[in-house]
Parts: sequence; structure tokens; C-alpha cells
Amino acid sequence: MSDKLILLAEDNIVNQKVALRQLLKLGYRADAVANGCDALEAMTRVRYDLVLMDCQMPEMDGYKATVEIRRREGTSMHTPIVAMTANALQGDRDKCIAAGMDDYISKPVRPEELQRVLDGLFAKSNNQASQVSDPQTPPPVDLNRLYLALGDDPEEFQEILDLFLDHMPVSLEKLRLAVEAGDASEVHLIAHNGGGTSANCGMTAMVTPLRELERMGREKQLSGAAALSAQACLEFERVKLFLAEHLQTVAAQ
Amino acid sequence: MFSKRGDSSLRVLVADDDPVIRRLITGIVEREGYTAVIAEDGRVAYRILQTDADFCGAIFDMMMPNLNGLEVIRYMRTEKRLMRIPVMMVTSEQDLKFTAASFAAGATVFLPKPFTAAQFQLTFRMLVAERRVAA
Repeated sequence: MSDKLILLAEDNIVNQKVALRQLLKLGYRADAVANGCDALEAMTRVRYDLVLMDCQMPEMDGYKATVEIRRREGTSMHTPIVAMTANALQGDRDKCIAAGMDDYISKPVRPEELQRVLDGLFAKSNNQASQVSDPQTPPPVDLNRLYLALGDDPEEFQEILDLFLDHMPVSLEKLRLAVEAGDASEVHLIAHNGGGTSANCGMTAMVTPLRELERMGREKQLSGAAALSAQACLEFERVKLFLAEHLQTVAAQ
Repeated sequence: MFSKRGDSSLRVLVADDDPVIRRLITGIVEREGYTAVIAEDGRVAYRILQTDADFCGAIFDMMMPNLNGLEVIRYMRTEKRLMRIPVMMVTSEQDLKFTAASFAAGATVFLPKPFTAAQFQLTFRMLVAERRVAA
């Protein structure tokens, strides 16, 4: 049995059973959902290694679901998505790739074709994982948490994000001055708020230096605080770059 | 119902010194059909409450400059016209003793940070439902 976990999004109950059985025979564990909304929901709870996506589904079809998955993942993640569709036309393939899917299989699904596509994508994602994943530098922003905290409305999302990006430099400057002045209780308060807000919005990189500064302020022991305050500023720059890149990717879709 | 002043109010007092969290909170409060009255810290909240009791709920950050969330709740619980307003305490303090301190001061519900929009919405609904039960 493979350690890979697959999400199957397919509204037709018969096709769903057939596909699940095929996957099981090939040695894969899989969960099944009946539409794009449920697929998105399942992906917030479980980390899947691959998604098999029917294109025509009620509620939210496979194309829309894929665009949304890619928007949420940003540049930090890429779950392989394989389209399944009955219309084996070249135009459909293009549409799938344009939506952000990685590969395409036509229905009815033949086990050997499924095997070939899965093998190819898992080999690719394993390679990427070993190249990209560096435990020393996790992405500065937890996009999943960011979207969960700021909600689904794009306008409101942008407004709150802008507010964060505008306000954080003000807080960091206040923090720097408080450290300079040796004002421990002010350091405590600003670092506490900045750390809390950053953690709440998924700005992971900011959290460690700010939490440490919060502790220093609480214990009225500010030696080394200036370096941490400078580090918080650097991490903020990383966050800003990462978010700009992410928003560009989203806008391009 | 036994209507008293403020029982039918749709106004919610939101006190948080962080503009990002304040915006997050007011967005959800307003989407739920309520009006948010903003206070930038505990002292502003206290001043508002001195003359205005027309709230169906209040949401306080625990750690604010000047007057913190616990102090504002303690004040509310000693004032007859404010004591029945349910209060949600929000904090990123991880220590359980702050949960206990919130309830001891008179908080109705408690929401630890980090929270998601959905978690906040659910806790907020509990808060305003509490008002209806209390009224």
C-alpha cells in the first residue's frame, strides 16, 4: 500500500465507486467527495498528495475548484490535480491546464492510464519536494491560515491585508524606539499585539522574533532586543515580498 | 419579551488597539447584521460606556494600553445598566490562567487567538444569543 493519500472529486456515485476500487487495486488510499466545494473543504482538513477531479460537477465544477485551490496554495504549495472528463477533446485538455490542473485522463478511466499518470506526477512531486523543501526556510506566510483568518470576500481580503501591510511598519518603528528607550512595558505591549496579529493572519515569519520580544518585555530584560527588533523588520520584508509574489500569481489566473 | 432599554439594540462595542484585528472583527460583526461601535483602547471603551449602555454585546481585546479588557469588564459588572451586556474576551495569551481570569471578571465567552473568520463568527453568534436568553 502506498503512503500517498488521494482525494477523489466525482459526483456520479457509480463512477466514484469504480474509481475508488481502481485506486485501491493500484495500492492507493483515497477519500471521495461529490463536488468542488466539498473538495475544497476536505483539503482544508487533510493534506492530500493528489486530487482526481471530475470536470463536470454540481455546486462547483472541477475548473472552478482548481482555480480556487491554486489561489489558496499560492507559491508555497502545489498539490497535483488530475482532471477526469468524458469529453476527450483537445480543447478540454487546454481548459484543464489553463485552470491549473497538471494532467488529464479521459473517462471511462482505464487502470493502466491512471497508473501511468499517477506514477508520473508522484515522481515529479517527489523530485520537487527534495529540491525545494528546505527545513531551514519554511515560507514566511502560512497562506492557508491567512485565507481562513481574512475570509472569502476578495475585496475585504485585500483591504485587511493592506491594513496589515500599512500598520505593521508603524508598529515595528514604535517597537524599535521602545527598545532604544529601554521601555520594557511598551516593548511587551507592542510585541504582544504585533505577534498576536501576525499569528492570527498567518504571517508566521514575524511571530518568533515578536514573541521573544514580548517575553523580554514581560521579564523586563531587554538585552539582545535591538537585534530581535531588527530581525522582525527583516522578516516583515520577507513577508511583503512573498505576499506580493503570491497576489501576482493569483491575479494571473 | 420583557423589553428593557437596549434589549433590542443591534449595536456591538468593539475595543481592540490593533487596527487589523479591529477591521477583521467589525467586518464579521457587520456581516452578521450588527453595527460596530469602535474603541481604540480600553479607556475609550470605558468613556463610551459611561454614557452609552445601548449595546447587545461587547468584544474586548484582553491586552490594551491604558485600560485592559479585564478592567473594563469589571467596571461593567458593577454598573447596573451595563452588567447584563454579554462580553467576548479575545486574547493571544496562551496561558489558561487568562481564560480563568476572563470568566472571573465576568466575560461571557472567550476566544483565543489565532482565530479563523469562521471561529469568530460562531463565537459571536453565541455572544448575541446569550443576550437574548439573558433578556
